[in-house]
Amino acid sequence: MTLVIKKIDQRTLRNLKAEAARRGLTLAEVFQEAAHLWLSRGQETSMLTETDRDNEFYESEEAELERQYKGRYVLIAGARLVGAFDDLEAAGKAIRFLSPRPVHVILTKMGQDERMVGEWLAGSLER
Amino acid sequence: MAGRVFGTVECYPHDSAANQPRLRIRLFNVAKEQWPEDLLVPIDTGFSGAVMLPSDSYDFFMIGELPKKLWKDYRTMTGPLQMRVARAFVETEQTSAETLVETPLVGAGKLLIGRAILESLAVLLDGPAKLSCVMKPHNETGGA
Repeated sequence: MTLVIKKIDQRTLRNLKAEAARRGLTLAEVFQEAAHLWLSRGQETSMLTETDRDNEFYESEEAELERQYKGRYVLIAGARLVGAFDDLEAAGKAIRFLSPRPVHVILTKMGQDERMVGEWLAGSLER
Repeated sequence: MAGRVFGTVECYPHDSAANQPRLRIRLFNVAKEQWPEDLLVPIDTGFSGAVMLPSDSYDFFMIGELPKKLWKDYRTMTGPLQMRVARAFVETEQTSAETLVETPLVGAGKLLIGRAILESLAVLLDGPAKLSCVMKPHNETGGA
């Protein structure tokens, strides 16, 4: 069946195209999945859950990860350690092969990534 | 540096509504998947970070996010602001590099590039012509 959608918000369409490209889906498949999710709304969103679970895992294992993998890129997805990699290319390649594809992945260089402070002079988020 | 001569690599028009200078960038997530379109992104020299994204665009980069405890704090005139941070790759007319993309933990975010991107570029802000131009030292552009 063919469906024509008029006046769709440009940013929404751009994000849908990005998600489709990222996951190797057609736009039709993305719309179908979006419709399915909307119809089953009320359940907890998986994005927040994945982020929280990955971070809970990281924080509980941080000391051990730092001991074992200092200076390497550690990749956490699905609240488990996927692996440790010497460079970002290798970590990126490992992410491409994750199946099912996670929405959220933690990727950090153990012992080297630090909490940063920046400035945004006159910055504001009003629209 | 005084006395150097630069040639133009590429120029981009200012945003017509807000008259903001902009540069074109291409973004990739850590899996080297390209954001589907090149972006003409406003330049904000008051932003010390690299790339700020609207929160819905940031989702594309969440497959390379830093742990929550390493997310970035910003000082702003209206108080502190925390940003989520993810690894990414950025290409400009002159550079290709690993970078960090960010979006506010609270709020919709904005699309802009800051000083961390400008550090690797020579940029001419041509106000009268309403253009932002990426420049190269003249000997790199093939001139005398």
